Amino acid sequence: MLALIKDSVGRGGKNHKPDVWIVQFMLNRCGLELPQGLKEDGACGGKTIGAVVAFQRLHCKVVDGRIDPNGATLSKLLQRVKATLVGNLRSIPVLGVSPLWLPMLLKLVQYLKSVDTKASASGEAGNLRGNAEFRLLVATVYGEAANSSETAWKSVAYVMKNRVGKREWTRYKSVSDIIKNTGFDAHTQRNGPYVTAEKYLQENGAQAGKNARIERMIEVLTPVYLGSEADVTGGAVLYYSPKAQAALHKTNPKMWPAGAVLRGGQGAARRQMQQEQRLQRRRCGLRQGAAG
Amino acid sequence: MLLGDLPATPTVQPLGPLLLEIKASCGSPCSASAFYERRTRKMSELFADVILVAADIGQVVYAKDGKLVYSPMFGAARATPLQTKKPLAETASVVSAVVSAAFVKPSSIKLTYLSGPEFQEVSETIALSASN
Repeated sequence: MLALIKDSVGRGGKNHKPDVWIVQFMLNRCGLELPQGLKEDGACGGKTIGAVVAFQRLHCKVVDGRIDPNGATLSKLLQRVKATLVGNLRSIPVLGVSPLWLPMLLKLVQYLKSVDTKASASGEAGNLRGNAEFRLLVATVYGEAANSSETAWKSVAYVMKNRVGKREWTRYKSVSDIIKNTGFDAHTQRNGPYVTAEKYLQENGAQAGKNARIERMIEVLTPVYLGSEADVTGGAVLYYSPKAQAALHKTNPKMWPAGAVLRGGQGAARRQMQQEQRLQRRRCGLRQGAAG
Repeated sequence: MLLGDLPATPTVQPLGPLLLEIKASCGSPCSASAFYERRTRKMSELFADVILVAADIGQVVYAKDGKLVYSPMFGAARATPLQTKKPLAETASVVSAVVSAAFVKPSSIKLTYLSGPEFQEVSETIALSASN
């Protein structure tokens, strides 16, 4: 297989435009907290180098602001991108990519198909506590569903991941973007359980603490975040609490109908999603089930 | 207090010195909000998926029957559809089609929303009807 990038990217690198674009594309989708995201233009400036450094601080032993064609940083970056993309290459937002960069994107997809996230999952799990996006995910799931079942925890997390780059959420490139912008009230309203979990995760850093429920949630959500297990929701992008819906239905049956809350019905949303997934697979040259 | 019947813990947010929003999550995106006016001790009806509140003119913009509507916050709800020039994109939940919303004048809203099958972003200023 051809090298993913021909030359080094970043501080002191050759910084060929196609190589830089691939790195920028991956840095925007590796779970890194980048407030405004990187502009994917193939030009390597201070922001791109800064993002490489930030990524290396979290995941690599050497922090030099550079990514080499066969280096450890590139390998880690590929693993993180595949994990962040739900272990599902179909969620790559092909439609939003300029035709200029499509050959690079196709090359990247080929590479990602060969990355084994399961092999990396056990090794990375210990480091996830230091990952700002993972902490945000755990705190938000705790805020949304602390007292629900473990399956409910996973479902909420999968809904977050499944939205990345899809349908009306196309412009959001990471789980962090989704949590902050697409209606997760536990985070936006900072409810009690969310604040409890956020504080707990900050105080304990990379170490395990004494809150058994949060510790169990970290354990349950780690493979979800890394994309190393099958999606229990089958690709869901919405969730609602049946108990809350039932209670609201009693107060105002017209405003809160019993059961589904989706405009056009769940069937319409599902059909639209399946159609888009088929289109994306065709454009990526991927077959169903190729990812994961 | 109906919100007290919900399984999720409601949050209380001040929206100014005299107004509180009590909001409970029922999923994502799914929420129910009620408003409490401290001076008059009035409690509003429940509103679904509130996207914008104008405390000074007592208006609330929210989702109803798959459409965006606005209504006075207190008293009998008179939901008036928010008319956009282009149709909102067919999103799974109507509030997902809204990118941002803000009051720009006492009776106008700047709404940025997604429209069409490609989810194109559109911004426009919409005047609220004088009757409300």
